[in-house]
Amino acid sequence: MKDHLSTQDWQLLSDYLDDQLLSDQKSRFEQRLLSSPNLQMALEEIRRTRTLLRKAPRRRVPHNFTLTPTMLQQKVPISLSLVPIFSITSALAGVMTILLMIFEFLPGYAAQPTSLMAPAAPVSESVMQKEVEESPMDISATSEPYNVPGMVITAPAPGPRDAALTPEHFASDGSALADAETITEEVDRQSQNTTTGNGLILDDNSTIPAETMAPVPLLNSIEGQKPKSNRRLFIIITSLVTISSGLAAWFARQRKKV
Amino acid sequence: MDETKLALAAQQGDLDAFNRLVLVYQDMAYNLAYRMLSDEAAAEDATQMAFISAYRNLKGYRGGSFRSWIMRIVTNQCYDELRRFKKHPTVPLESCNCEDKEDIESSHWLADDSNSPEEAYARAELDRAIQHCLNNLPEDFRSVVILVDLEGQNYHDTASIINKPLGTVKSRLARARTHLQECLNRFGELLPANFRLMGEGNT
Repeated sequence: MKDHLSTQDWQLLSDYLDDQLLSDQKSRFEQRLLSSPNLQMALEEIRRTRTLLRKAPRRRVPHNFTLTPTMLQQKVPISLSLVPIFSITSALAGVMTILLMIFEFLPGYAAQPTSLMAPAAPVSESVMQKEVEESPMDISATSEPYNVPGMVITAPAPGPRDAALTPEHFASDGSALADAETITEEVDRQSQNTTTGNGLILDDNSTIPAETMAPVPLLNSIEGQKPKSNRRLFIIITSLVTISSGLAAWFARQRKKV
Repeated sequence: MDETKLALAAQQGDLDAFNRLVLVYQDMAYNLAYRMLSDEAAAEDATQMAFISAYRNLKGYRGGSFRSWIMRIVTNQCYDELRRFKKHPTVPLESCNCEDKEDIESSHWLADDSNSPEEAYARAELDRAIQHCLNNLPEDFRSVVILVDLEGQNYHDTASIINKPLGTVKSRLARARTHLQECLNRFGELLPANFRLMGEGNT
């Protein structure tokens, strides 16, 4: 009959026996107990079990377990002392691997630089062409005939000669300046988007020669490959460190257990 | 000197102070280890290792009940030993049955040797039955019922020793008692009359 008691009933019985019930729980349980012979019988049995367990003979201690300096001189093997270091190294390298993989493979982080850089190129080229046609400057008189204001550069910071070629140089007629400003804004907008993505340094106010500009998409993709391949190399390295440190810690622990 | 002062002295490197604490708790530690591992030699090793480990990690003791702290180390040492047994099972050189019979006949291991031979025999039978039933319990239930019912720890200390919430202690204890009750009932007539769960001879 008592087999029909639920696990909760058995727990209540055990708690009641050890006086672990709150006062309202206890009074409710005692009311149930009065009306249920099954519960009474189960309570009696569990009480006997507890009594029996309390009577379990105690073992005599075979000898004193006091420590001697000799016992304490036994040093922990080096491999065991390195377990925490291996474990921490493995954990840190694992976290770094995950972060690098997020930056490498998640669309929100990885796809931005290349996808945004691609459409920027035709704008640059068309602007360059337009400027070349409309600019009243004697383009043959300067060593940088195809300089375009507001272009995106990816390589070295502008030198003195670049600094001389600012948008003001193209403001000899109002339309050219207006075009240049529109384009500058356009490129500005795009360069802001690209700056954070691939880590390249962009300078809105700098100009670069046309022949350098022509292969900008190509340059961008080449420049983008370098950090990308670096990241992948880091991922491989951190993965290897994670695995090797984890294995080293595991082997050291196994030695301890054996 | 109370145990907190002894523990603080031990933290400063006073081995004698630590050994005084060892003498206080070695009986409880050894009995806990024996009930967990069901093997005298393993219990002896586990107890010694636990005290060595406790001394080396005294910095981890931050006041409170030293008994709970040291019993937690013993319990963890027993869990380690049980895991090791599972991975690398060993067979003792002597037959277990012979050893049991010898134990029952001599009862040299009983802490209380004031009993008559008949009484000693009855207690040895009871010990065998309880240990058999404890061995059939999952380790987590076993540790709780040993601490509460055999070692007389209260619920809060037990929760501290096994590092689990009070509710977990209560539920594990209830389930362990239910299992033990069923198991000890199966022993029935095999137990001496005054130790049987069923019948009029129960205490």
